Amino acid sequence: MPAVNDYLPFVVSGVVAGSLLGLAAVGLVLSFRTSGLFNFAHGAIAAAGAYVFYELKEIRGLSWPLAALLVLAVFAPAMGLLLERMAAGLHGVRAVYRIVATVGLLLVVQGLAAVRFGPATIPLNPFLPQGTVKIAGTFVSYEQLIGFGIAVVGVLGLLALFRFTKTGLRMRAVVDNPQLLSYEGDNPTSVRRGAWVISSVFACATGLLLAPSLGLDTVVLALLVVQAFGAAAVGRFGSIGATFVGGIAIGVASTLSAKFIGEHLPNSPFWAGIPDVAPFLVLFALLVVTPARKFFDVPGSNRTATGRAVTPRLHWEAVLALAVVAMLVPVFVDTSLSVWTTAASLVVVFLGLGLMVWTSGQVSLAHAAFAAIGAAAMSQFLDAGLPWGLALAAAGLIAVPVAVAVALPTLRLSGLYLALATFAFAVLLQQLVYPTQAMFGGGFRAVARPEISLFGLDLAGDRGYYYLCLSMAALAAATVFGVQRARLGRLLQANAESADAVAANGGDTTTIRTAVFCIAGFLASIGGALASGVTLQASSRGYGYTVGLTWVAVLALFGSRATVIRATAAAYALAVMPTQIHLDPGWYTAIFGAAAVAASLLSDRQFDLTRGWDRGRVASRLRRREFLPPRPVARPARAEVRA
Amino acid sequence: MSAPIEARPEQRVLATRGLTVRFGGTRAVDALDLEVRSREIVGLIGPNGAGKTTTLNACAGTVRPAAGHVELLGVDVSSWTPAHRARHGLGRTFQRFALCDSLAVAENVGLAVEARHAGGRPWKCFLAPRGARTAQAARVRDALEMCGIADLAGRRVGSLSTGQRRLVELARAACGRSPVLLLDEPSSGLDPAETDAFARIVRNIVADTGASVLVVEHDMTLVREICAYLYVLDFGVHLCEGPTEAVLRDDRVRQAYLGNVEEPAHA
Repeated sequence: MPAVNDYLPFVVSGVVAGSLLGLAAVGLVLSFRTSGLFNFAHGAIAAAGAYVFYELKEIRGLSWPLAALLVLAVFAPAMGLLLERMAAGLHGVRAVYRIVATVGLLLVVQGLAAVRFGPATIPLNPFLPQGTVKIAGTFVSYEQLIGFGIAVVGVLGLLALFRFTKTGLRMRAVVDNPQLLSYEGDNPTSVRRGAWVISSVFACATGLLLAPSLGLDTVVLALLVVQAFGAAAVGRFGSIGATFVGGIAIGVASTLSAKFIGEHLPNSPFWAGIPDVAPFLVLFALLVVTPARKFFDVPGSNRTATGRAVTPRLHWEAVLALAVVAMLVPVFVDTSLSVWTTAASLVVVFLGLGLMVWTSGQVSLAHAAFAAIGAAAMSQFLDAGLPWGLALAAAGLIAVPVAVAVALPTLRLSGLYLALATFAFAVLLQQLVYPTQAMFGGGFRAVARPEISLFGLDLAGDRGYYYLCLSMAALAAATVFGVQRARLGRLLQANAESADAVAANGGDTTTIRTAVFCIAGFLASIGGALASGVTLQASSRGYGYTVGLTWVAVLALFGSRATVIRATAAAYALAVMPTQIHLDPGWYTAIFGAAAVAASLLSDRQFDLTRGWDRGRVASRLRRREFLPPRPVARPARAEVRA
Repeated sequence: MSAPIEARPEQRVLATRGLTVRFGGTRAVDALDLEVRSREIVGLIGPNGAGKTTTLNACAGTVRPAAGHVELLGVDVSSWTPAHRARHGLGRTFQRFALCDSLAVAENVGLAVEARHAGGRPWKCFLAPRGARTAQAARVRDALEMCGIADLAGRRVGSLSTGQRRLVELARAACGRSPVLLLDEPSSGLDPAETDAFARIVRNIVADTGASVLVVEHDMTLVREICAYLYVLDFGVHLCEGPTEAVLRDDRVRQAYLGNVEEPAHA
């Protein structure tokens, strides 16, 4: 049958690529289940492994087996141990911070890689033996075979570990109930450490095996391993076997759809993007159709009680001071006024994000995508001949149905899954829709400023446009402030702390959450439209998914109260600071990421890097040799050593 | 004081018919028929794991029954969400508090009005009829006074003791002015004096607002104090029902649940 023969090579390469995806996904699920921390930086760890390999092999001149060994046996375990410490430090902090922390880590890796190796893709020479072998009528390269073999051996090894060893049994027990395990005399910390090390090694192995075919590029590599999310969703973020099978299925679906689209739908940027985003389609579809209770939820992750008053008060003096400074900016800066205009429009974006993340406790990683929608819509509406004000309003409103479509299916799940879904949405939009004519069409779109004069000020001029954006920011700030003081604000706050309470009193929690997502999407879209007017053009630059992550990270740095002040500070930090202190943009990404990690770890002020460390290492070793009775938790390890 | 034994009121406000809830292989509640009648305080008692709270949750809509119906104020609400049932006339408290720690007591209690008002319509989060704010403030004040915690109105819930939190939850349930209230182990964490006060407040609420109450409770003193009628569950199965005193004297109940305890001296 010629048809089968045509497709067989694609199936084979799909299985190979999918098995690597599955390997990464298994690592992700393992660490998630044992520590409750979902690692958004899992892909970044893989990328980091590949970069270290490149550094050792190509720059330091080590032989590839030695370099690979160093990466897999030294670097990856070290990252795993570090992550375990991070997960321990994040135990019991607000759910929002648990997401922000690993997002920050992702930014750190991306930023540092950009600083060290530059933003461009670096080709990595193949290092595995070359050549092909014919299997079932199709040629398979040794590289593919080895990759597939490593993935299968890795996952089978893990399953065997679970099945036949005590460590594996403990790992399964930690997944079910860490508290119980420590009562039984085993140390959950040491088990978690093992899980994070395995997870990290799997990620790095995936990174190494994928790098030669993809090249070294933080975004591509992170993206590719991030696709493991889709496979993890197949295993409902819990089952190791199903996750691996899901990875293979997604790989096959991806290559087959590539073949099909290449034959039947050439020259369409939208369809050409489909194979790349297949895992995200799977993730999104599964989040939508699976009953909420089937998804693993992190215990205690809904805990948001800050113990602080949240109803914001109006600080007149702060508002006045801000207003005066903002009004005077054009007097003092001249050529760089556009930076301040961008900052003012970013304030609008951040106000929405702040309302969503910090009042309502919902993390949206797609905020940049909504800003992109606003920018693209603005240019299109202006092209269509709408007057400026109307175009702006329409650009804002067009984000609302999109927000409903993204939010509604996932809001019934816990905050983590909303973050995942919005992340998937951001990547989908970036890969599929940004390049189409519906948005940016792969190039730049012109955006005009309003041809109006107000109080003798030409709004199309730089100064006039600055004041226009500033007043929009003030209007948005007043709106958000009003929302927080109004019934919706209290309901959002109540909903974030106890959704049960709201539901038991007749409030529809999903509707309330959707409402705030719509407001946030609207504001992001308006902000994006305003920002595009600064440069008079809209393009996909500046709206990649990394930008959405950076925004959440930056916003996390400014305390959890007073959304308006927080949003203003974040916007100016992000827009103005890089123009005043000139650093490689990678440094800024890394610094913001690291600061977000630190802010998350310190959010409950109980972070202690050494907590649990001695106990884990010393006591568990002694217990293994039966020097100690199986009761490690009650006393500190040092006392036990002396005994 | 024990509740007088008399004929049950006629009008039925809450009823379950053949209610069955399964958790995996276990039947937490098995074909339970239960009725709460107008202005009546009904107790649901039984040993741990008998399915009391599960029954309550099934009535409130947070647990999906495998079979059976829940009828609220004459309407079959089995397929309704918790919020929908609450708006239809159901208030509840939680054994593990569902309070918002960072909000003030008055704001928590006001949630009963605000959440019902907003319901499933987002625009109602912004719009309210003229005078709604003062009316709400008055209702909150009434509820707080009824529960004797008017002095706590401005305090943040995060700083309150367990006993005070119980009262805040009760005030919130009262503030919603629901015809039917579900109380889930309201005395857990309370000392005897607090429990006495709590019983008095519950009776006052019923007298003032004409609410009917279904209460899950372990504390037999409180049960004796407030309940006119009891249902006894054992392993999810309806063991017996009847007026409080009769049920508490029943041999089966003593065997399954109470043990051979002596009558409390003050009863």
